[in-house]
Amino acid sequence: MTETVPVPGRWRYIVRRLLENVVSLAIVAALIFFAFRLIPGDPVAAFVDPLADPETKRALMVRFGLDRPVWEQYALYVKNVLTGDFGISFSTKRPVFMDIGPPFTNTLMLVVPVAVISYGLGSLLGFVFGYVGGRWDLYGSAVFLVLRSTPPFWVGLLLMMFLAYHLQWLPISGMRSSWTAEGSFVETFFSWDFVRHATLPVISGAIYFTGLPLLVARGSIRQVLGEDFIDLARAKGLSETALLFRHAARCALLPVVTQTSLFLGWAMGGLVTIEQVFSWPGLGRLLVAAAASSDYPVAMAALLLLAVIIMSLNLLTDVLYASLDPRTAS
Amino acid sequence: MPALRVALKLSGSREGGWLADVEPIGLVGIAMFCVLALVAILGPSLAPYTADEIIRLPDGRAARLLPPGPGHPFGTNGFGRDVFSQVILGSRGALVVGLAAAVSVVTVGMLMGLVAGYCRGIADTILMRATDIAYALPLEPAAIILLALTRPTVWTTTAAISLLAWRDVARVIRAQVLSTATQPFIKAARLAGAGHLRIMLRHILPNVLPLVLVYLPVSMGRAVLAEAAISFRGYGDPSVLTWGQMLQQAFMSGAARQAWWWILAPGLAINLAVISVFFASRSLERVVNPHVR
Repeated sequence: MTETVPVPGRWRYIVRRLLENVVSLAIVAALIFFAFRLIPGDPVAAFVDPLADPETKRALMVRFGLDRPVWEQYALYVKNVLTGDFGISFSTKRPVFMDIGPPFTNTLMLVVPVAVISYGLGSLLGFVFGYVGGRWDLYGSAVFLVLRSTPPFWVGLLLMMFLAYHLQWLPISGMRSSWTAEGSFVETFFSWDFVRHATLPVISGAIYFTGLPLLVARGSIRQVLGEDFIDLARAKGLSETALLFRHAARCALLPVVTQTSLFLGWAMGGLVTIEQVFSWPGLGRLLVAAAASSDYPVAMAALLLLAVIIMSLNLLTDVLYASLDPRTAS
Repeated sequence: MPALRVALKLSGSREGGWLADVEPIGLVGIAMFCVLALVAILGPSLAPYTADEIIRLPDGRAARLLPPGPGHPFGTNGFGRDVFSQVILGSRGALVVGLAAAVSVVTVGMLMGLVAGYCRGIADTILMRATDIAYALPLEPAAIILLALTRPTVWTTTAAISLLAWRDVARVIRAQVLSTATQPFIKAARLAGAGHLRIMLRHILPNVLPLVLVYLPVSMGRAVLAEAAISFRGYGDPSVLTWGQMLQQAFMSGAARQAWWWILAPGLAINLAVISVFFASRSLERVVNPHVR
């Protein structure tokens, strides 16, 4: 690839995207910062627990520069965030990052399997539906369109009702059985007990999220199959399987890959409710609980953390795309 | 009136009118949506009970968790209320939030896409970075936090959903505007002395309007799902009965253990509402863009 594309052009593109993302991130931080100042009543309520004693309040006011002008406050906020200081949680009185770490891992343990299943299965089925066409394609994509119209938390409730309560095949809620002790990372997440607990939430998410990559992959493969190089490959006497998966699917995968960067943002929307249904101690649940109990430092940090991750993934996809298809960089 | 012209173009462009081009699936969607709209409008006169009327047993106790049967096709809930009536009355909230959010999302997205795609340069950069920023925040969590900070009503819910949901429409419309703007007839119009505003409104807008029409039902479906999620998490308007709120009550009272009807009915209603608009949008897509065959 380096022979065909002058390297400086690509690097310039990557650096430009990186800078753009830094600026966007600063704006996101500002939006979050100022949105939480709109809280009716106390403008410093986002940082200082209104119920704390006066001395703690004063200490926190100084720490976050709340006695200074708004712009200085924002600058200090950014500086604190960059050094990992998100403030003190009102409800647990611990540094916020300590409260966010474990739920973040727990959510990741749902998001990753959901992403793998929905994007793997979705693109595979999409390619097959788009290739065979006709009746299978019509009914197949209609089924997934219907599943995409279904609230994932409702699917979760139905699965829970049938598989957990009625048939009692799987546990009802939580992340591990009550009799198991909290162990190390490996003990917690690589155990049969965890897999059994994660099954229903993962299926509820995957059922909903498979639809989008499927429809994108289907549209994309149909376009690719109409191009000249496919006729050429067929004329060369390639088998239809090799044609579909070795030649057509590779080209058709690009739009699906672009979609993946947005997946986390969408998945968080779905997980806010799925985690509620299955009492999963994840980020979505923490976020809503923090908003409900007016634990603003936690809510702000969680939102900002998600924004950082989504934007980084977005950047990564752009860079990946630019190296897969050099035309985009110019 | 560009909109009228598009509608006329859609209806008279091919033999047999546009109905001949609509897939059966799309007709099903449109029919379902009409039924739903009727139910929402006629709600109170269709529902056998009011939303908070408690059904009494002959001995005076509340008829809690009656399974579906004569008189109560969807059974009663944990408070002794008729689930069938609640499902009927809940349609209004979903439809109002869905429609209002869809219209604002599509309007904002269309304007941003139009300006970004036509003006290019600095306007494009700013608007597209704004779109990136909107994509960086997850919709439902951000909306829930916003509603937790303000007071949830039907209109704040609509605003909270619309605040981020315009991003998809803006991106799609911008791409369409970009490709339309390079076509020869735009250059011809400019040579003929047409101003920028005129080119945007008279020449480009009619070409992106069909796409806007496709995105209207899609945005509505997404808004209905988002509203359901928000209400299910308990951040909907407490004074307006919605399907998401019904599911929240059912979940909180542990209905998953025995009262399947209390969970099945409202969820199915959400599902059918969203299916109807998604299917309808598919038929529009076919009419708008005949190449998709």
